[in-house]
Amino acid sequence: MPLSDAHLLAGIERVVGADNFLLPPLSSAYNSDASLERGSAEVVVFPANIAEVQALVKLCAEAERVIVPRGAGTGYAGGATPGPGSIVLATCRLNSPAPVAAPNGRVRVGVGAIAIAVDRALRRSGYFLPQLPTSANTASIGGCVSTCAGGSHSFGYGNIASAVQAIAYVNGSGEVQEVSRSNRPELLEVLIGSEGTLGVIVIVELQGQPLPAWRRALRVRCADTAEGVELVQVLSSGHPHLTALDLACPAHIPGRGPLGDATLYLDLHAQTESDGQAALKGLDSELCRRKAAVEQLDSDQLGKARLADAIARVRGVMRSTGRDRYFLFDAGIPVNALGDGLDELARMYDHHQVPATNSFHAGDGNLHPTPFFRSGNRRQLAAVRRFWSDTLAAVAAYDGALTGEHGIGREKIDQLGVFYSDEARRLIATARRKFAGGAAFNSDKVDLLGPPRRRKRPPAAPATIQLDRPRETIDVPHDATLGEVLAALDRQDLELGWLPVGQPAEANFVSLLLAGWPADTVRGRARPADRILGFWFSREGERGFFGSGVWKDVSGLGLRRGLASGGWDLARIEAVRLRVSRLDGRFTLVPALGDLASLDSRTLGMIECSILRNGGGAAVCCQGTVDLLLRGSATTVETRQALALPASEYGRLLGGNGSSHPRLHPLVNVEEAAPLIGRSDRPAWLLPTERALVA
Amino acid sequence: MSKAPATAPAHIAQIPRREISKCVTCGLCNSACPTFATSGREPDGPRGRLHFIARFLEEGDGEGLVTLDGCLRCNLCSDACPTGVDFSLAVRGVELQRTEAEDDLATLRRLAKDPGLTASEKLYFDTVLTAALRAEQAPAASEAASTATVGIVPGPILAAAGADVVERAAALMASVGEVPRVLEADPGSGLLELGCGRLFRTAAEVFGSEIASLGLDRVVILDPWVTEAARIALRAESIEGVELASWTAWLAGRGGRLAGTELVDCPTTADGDVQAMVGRPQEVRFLPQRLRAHASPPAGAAAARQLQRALQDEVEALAVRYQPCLTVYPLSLHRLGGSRFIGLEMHDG
Repeated sequence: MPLSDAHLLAGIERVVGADNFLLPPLSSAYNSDASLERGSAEVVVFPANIAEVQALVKLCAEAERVIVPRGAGTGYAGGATPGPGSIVLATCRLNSPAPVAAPNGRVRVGVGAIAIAVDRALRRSGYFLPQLPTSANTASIGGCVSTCAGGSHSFGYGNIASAVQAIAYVNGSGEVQEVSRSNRPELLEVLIGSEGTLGVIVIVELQGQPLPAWRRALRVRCADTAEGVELVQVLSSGHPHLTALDLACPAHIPGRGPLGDATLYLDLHAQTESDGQAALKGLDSELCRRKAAVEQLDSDQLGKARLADAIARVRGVMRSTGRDRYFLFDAGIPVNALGDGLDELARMYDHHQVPATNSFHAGDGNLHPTPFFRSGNRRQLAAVRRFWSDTLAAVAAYDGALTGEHGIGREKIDQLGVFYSDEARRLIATARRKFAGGAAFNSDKVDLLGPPRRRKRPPAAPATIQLDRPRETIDVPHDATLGEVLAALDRQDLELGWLPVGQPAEANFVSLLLAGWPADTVRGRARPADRILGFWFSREGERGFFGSGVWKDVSGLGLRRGLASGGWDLARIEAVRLRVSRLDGRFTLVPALGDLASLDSRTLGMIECSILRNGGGAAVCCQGTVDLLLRGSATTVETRQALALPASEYGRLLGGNGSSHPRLHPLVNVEEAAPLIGRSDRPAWLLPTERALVA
Repeated sequence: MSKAPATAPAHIAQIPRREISKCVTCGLCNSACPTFATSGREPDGPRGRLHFIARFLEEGDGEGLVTLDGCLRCNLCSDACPTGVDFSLAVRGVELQRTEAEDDLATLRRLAKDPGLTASEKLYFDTVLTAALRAEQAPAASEAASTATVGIVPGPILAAAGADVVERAAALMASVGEVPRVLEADPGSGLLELGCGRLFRTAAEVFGSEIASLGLDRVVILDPWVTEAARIALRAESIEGVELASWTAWLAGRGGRLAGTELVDCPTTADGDVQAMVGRPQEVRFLPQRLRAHASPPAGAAAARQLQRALQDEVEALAVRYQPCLTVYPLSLHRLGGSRFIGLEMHDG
């Protein structure tokens, strides 16, 4: 028999004290978050430590009450809106440990800490947290992790899942559990972005990114949206120092045409001035070719400039239309479909007669359509909701994502069936059961098995490797080898985006993926886990596909990321769909590393390591002098740093595969390399490239 | 004095409705709110307070309005608001609705109805209206011999409302039985914004000491920022230090004139610095991230440079006292609003 209300309240008071819970009417301030959703907060509790959270979870389980964990209430999806009878567990007092970053950029912090405070703590140690939402001054770090926040810089650094190293949470039985990269990493991935539906996250541990020594922000005025999209599609690949790529479309007012211009916001990060200038030069040439109006900004001011521009657009629409309310929606479509997608959005605005703006993370295809309505005007609000429902259907048709960074919450729970098949939703439910306990966490947002609303058939599992060069995807069946995958990519001038260091060509690709790739094999900032767009699976006699065409898809409990984290036992994987990258045609020359005779085996091994880490290339020995040629641009400093490392570090860089250089292969593309280094004589020997691994 | 309706004028009632309708509940205002920073609770932040105002307006449920008492009226939330909600207007509007005073408000109503009023003017008349209503509620105090109303009319109000606003304010005050006395009117500056935290303290020192010197027992101040500053001044006599208060005289002694201060950037107070200061009431608890002060330099480049150097010394001394919260950056001569100013910037550490 559940606890009576009186007993429950007495218990809450006993746990947190009389001053640390709210009842109506004050609790009603927690009826909503930043979404359009409205709930009913009966009791709001403010636990100060983990023990209090544990006691509250047990108490609520006994009283059969739903717990709704809540950060700062800045979520746009209604993830923190409470259902009737729910107990809102506000995390604002869970701020221990305080945000103090270690010298290595690691910070372990209570979830109540404000996100910007965590970033500041990291900055004091020479690191930063790139994955900050616009609301970082208000949002709690727990909320950011719970919704898998992204923001502008997720383009270059991945979303916050890339930063999270460990999570401590209170499960449904009131026990404290800790999962980390080394201990149940697949559960860690599932917890990130779980929106408070699996437990109460109480502590998170994050790894910051080194502060870039060189930064440059650009604001690019484009003639129209089409030009902006064209630039986005050109710049979204092949510019490793580009960390943010946002686009603000002109405001759209039905019947009046566009209002304002299209503006791109770019942020470049590099660890040296020379690398930065080289990257800027490369970018400039692209922009100059299109005669774009480029304005350089103080990099620290980019976010503010973008926000100020967005606010100006918002206010412009308000003045023009008299509509005083708006709502910021969130979805994702593949970047290569951006032009068509935005055209479709414009048709939706006109069809539903809603004025709108759209300032969004274009490099990730993460849309933020923002329709306007007049407060109190039910007809206009209904039109906005219809617009959104139809837009999501269109997004699904583009193989898009239900959410790029805001989460599902209450707002999109009914749309899960549009994006996920019944089989996929049952898979999500299976993952959720791993966290099952006595208490129900945010249970009105986990109606995973509601009525199916599937609009299209999921793709059939591929029997052979399938490449889609325009969309930059590869479908890999479960029995394909690493060599076959690399060869297929090579034929289309595509690459994985990370390097299979130390793996034999005959190794099974999917098995390697499921086992988790060593972090040291990753080139660039994104992880292999972020490259998984979807997978075909079979379990309990049924088959299905899980995923979308957008990497920044935070729906589905992070199961795609979890796939590449080891320990996967949810289903048998039939095939995997990955996003791949166009090969960067540029090379960087690091001349005159030394004489061949002076290069011992350790140094040669380091050169090999550098090549692998930097995406391929060659060490070229001509007339006794060794030059290094690296694929990609502006990687010289990393290389020199690698060469300066002690042997022990070098071994680590190689992912535990030894410090020797046993795989000295002839360079496949020597003809390409030779002219670039200005020498016509054939190199004496060469170190392997990614392609050479296939040989 | 003729009797007015028992409820606030209809157009006053529309003010909070209009402001609340603009709120998209994004919560960005909370990041700027000093009181939210201390507790992290919605009822202690602008979004929560607006929620309770909305409940009052829509459902007649005024229980949650108790949360308005905690508001400092600094209006920093309005600066952070993407849709331009003027929180002060909303609060004042609802306060007027809660006040069932009877008064001759015809003039105020007429003026406040003027559709051409700017936001600053509306705020001004709102404040005057509040003062009038309160004066009516406390006739005994207003009739006391030592009672007078002090009008502090800062630059933005003057710039928005025109030079005759002082006379109009005086007339309005007189019409509700107040003895008008304009403490400060600075039509030349166009800048006088005093904000939360250290600025409150500064303003408290500036205006608190001057007000105290008048020996009054009742004060009405005609600006939302200054109001709170003065309120703090009158409440907290034990505040130490008069550094910024001395600037006016200090500058005047060197041929300059304090033209105003401006909050440039104050997005958050939720930092370790604030946490460290909680529980130490004599310390400043809320720090503007960046403060810029402007002073009109004396004529002549040499004199200006001399003043600049002296000001630099003065501010550096101030920064030493407030370490590590403030860092003083080099002063520079720059143009602002078409006038030449000496600028100094202080950032949080």
